[in-house]
Amino acid sequence: MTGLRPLIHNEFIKSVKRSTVVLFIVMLVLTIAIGGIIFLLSGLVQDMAYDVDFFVDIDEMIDSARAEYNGSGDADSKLASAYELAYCEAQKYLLETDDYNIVAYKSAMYADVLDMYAAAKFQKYCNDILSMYPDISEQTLNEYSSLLEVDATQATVKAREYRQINSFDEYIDYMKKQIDISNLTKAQKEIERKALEYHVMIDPEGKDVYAAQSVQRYRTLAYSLEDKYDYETNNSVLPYDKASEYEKELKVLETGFRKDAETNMQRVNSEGAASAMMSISMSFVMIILIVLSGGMISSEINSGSIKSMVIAPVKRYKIILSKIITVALYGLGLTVIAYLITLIMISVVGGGLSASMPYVTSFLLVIPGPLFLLIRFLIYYFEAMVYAMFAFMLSVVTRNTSIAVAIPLLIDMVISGIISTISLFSSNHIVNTIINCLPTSHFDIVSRLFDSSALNLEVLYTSADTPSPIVSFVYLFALALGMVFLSIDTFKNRDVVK
Amino acid sequence: MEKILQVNNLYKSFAGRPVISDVSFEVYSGEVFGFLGPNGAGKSTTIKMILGLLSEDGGSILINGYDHRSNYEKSMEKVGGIVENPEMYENLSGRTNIEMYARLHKGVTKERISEVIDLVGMTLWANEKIKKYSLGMKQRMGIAQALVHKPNLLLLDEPTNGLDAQGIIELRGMLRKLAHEQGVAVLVSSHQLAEMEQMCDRICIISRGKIAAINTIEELRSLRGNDKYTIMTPNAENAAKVLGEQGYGDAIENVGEGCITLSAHEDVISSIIKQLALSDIVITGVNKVIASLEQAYMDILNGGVNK
Repeated sequence: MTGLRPLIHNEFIKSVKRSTVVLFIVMLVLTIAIGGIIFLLSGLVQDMAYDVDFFVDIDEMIDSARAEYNGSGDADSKLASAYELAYCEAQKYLLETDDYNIVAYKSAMYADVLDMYAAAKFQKYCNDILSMYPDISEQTLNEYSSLLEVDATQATVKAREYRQINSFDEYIDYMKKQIDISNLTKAQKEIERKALEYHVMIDPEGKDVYAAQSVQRYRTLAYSLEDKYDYETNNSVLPYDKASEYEKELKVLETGFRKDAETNMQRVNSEGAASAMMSISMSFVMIILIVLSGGMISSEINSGSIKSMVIAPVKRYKIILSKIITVALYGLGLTVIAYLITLIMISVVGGGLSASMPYVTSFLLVIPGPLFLLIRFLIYYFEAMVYAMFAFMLSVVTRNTSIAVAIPLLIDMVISGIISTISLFSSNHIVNTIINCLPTSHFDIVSRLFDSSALNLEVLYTSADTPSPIVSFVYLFALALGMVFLSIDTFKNRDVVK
Repeated sequence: MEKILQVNNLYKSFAGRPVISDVSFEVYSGEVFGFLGPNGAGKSTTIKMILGLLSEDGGSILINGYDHRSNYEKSMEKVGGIVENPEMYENLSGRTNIEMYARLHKGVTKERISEVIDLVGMTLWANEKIKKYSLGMKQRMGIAQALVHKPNLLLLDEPTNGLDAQGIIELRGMLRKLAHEQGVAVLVSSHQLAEMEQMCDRICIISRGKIAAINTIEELRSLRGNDKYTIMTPNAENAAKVLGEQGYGDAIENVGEGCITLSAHEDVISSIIKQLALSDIVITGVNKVIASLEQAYMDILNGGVNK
């Protein structure tokens, strides 16, 4: 009786070509090179954007906000558009000052100045609205204005002061003084001091936008808990479960900050680069696995070489299993290669991955950056394997390599995109439920498991009824097992040759 | 003699149409068993079923006493075979192909691999990729592969396809040696009678999915008495007269222009030729027109003789 090991050994000789692995590595390195160039270029473009207003036409935004503000409407909609208008004008004010710098501490200041200037503008509009609608409730007004509490002159003065700060240390000193003279409560002052302390701790040179963002996140959470006001959603009520969630995340953040300080890691935008590298390299892996598994059975049947395996004293299911295990091991190998290359690139270019990112908010876990990256790589690998099993099954059932390769690729590259676009724009509950039952909706577990809002990045994909990542994992796993079973069953019961 | 392969009431249908029905036979160690029949008779189908490439719809196959259905791995342990063309992995060398096949069997050493490659005379080519091989070379490599794990049952489907004359002679010698000296049970299929005659000890004639006869070569020959010969001679009538005088008159079947057709046993024909030569009859050629074996074969195929 033959075990699986010699069969797998043979499969590796047959299907795993050294040239593919070399090509894979070359493509990854090329991607890094191209990605690096784009990264540098995007930095330049970003700088340019603040100069020439590259991305958004701020005047147009102001015009449309003003049109809304001047239009007819009740007090609430007037307030909302006033808020919008105030922000646009503040944005314009800052764009025109022409000395914006991507360096993180300045970006933190930028945000503050933006808030203050907008607040001042908003106050002005609020006064007008108050004169138009004398019966507007004090509470409604406060809801809008409580966020922004300084007046215009103060904002202008502060902006001027900020612009005179030329180093991170000066910024920290300045901020400390500001906290002392501010009219914040004692607890709020404490939060501000701690935030500053953490910022210096994890990013002594003030170069890391992500550090600034993490600290900003810390402030949002701490303030929300202190003031019993949800600053994330601007909701005056902070429900109990939300509060406990924030508490957890706050703990994660604080632990992370300390860990980061211990490991003395620098985080210069490496997180974003790592994510980009990961999704690109794993899409290569997926394509390679689909092509490999789509031809594994059908090409051997068509060329007749399968005969030498069937004639040998090997049970049919072992033939299938050995091929599947080969695909799995090969994919794992490529994943690890991709992971290592990404890690090396990030330590060379970006100084390593952060440990302090509040990665898994709901589990209260702080995972070291490299391990976190590996986990995400492995989840992508799992998803690639589900597609590979689909291709494998088609290969066994249709015995046609072209079909077995083309259909999974088509679904991966075209159809899943169409479906997710439909779900993004559809508000019909039934349509969304049907879409959630489709396997394609259950991929991309990473983005759902590790809520991107926890990374303080832009939330790209949020929908109230997306399936839970754990359910998706179980569903996809069951699906893959089903396809393996179907492959074995089909191969066992059908004649190998005509 | 040990019974190696036992096939009982084998049945197979494609799309409801039976292609093999009620096929039963046995193959013993130390014999070359020929599977003879016209194209489409079901030779390959039977061999594919024995090798597990096709599932049997009915009946049973026992190899070395193990049932195919209930004990597949055990039953296939000592089986080697080639079906149709020996397809191998084109991008790999002949040696790698054999190594891969050997890995699926127990106890095949590196020396054994070199030994079988040497046996089929492919040592020089063993490290070349299969795609560079000619059909004959592939066939040789296929035989090496089928032999590498020392099977006691060897099934070869049309093994002489693509082999040159020398290759066929070598193969014939090799198979007979394997069977008679090493006790391997060899099952060979072919649609060429002459080939089978020289290679096999027993022949199973299969026609339209059914077994028409299983006989030894001698039995087959004796089924239909004499062979048919034509003797070319410018004066056929004189020759006929001489033969009549010498008491061979019964053998004469037909006297034509420049030739005379005789029906006689192998032993008789030599003395006929001797007599003609002694009587100064000029003989320009002697042809065996129809061998008795061929005659018997044709009769069996047409349903004339039963087993």
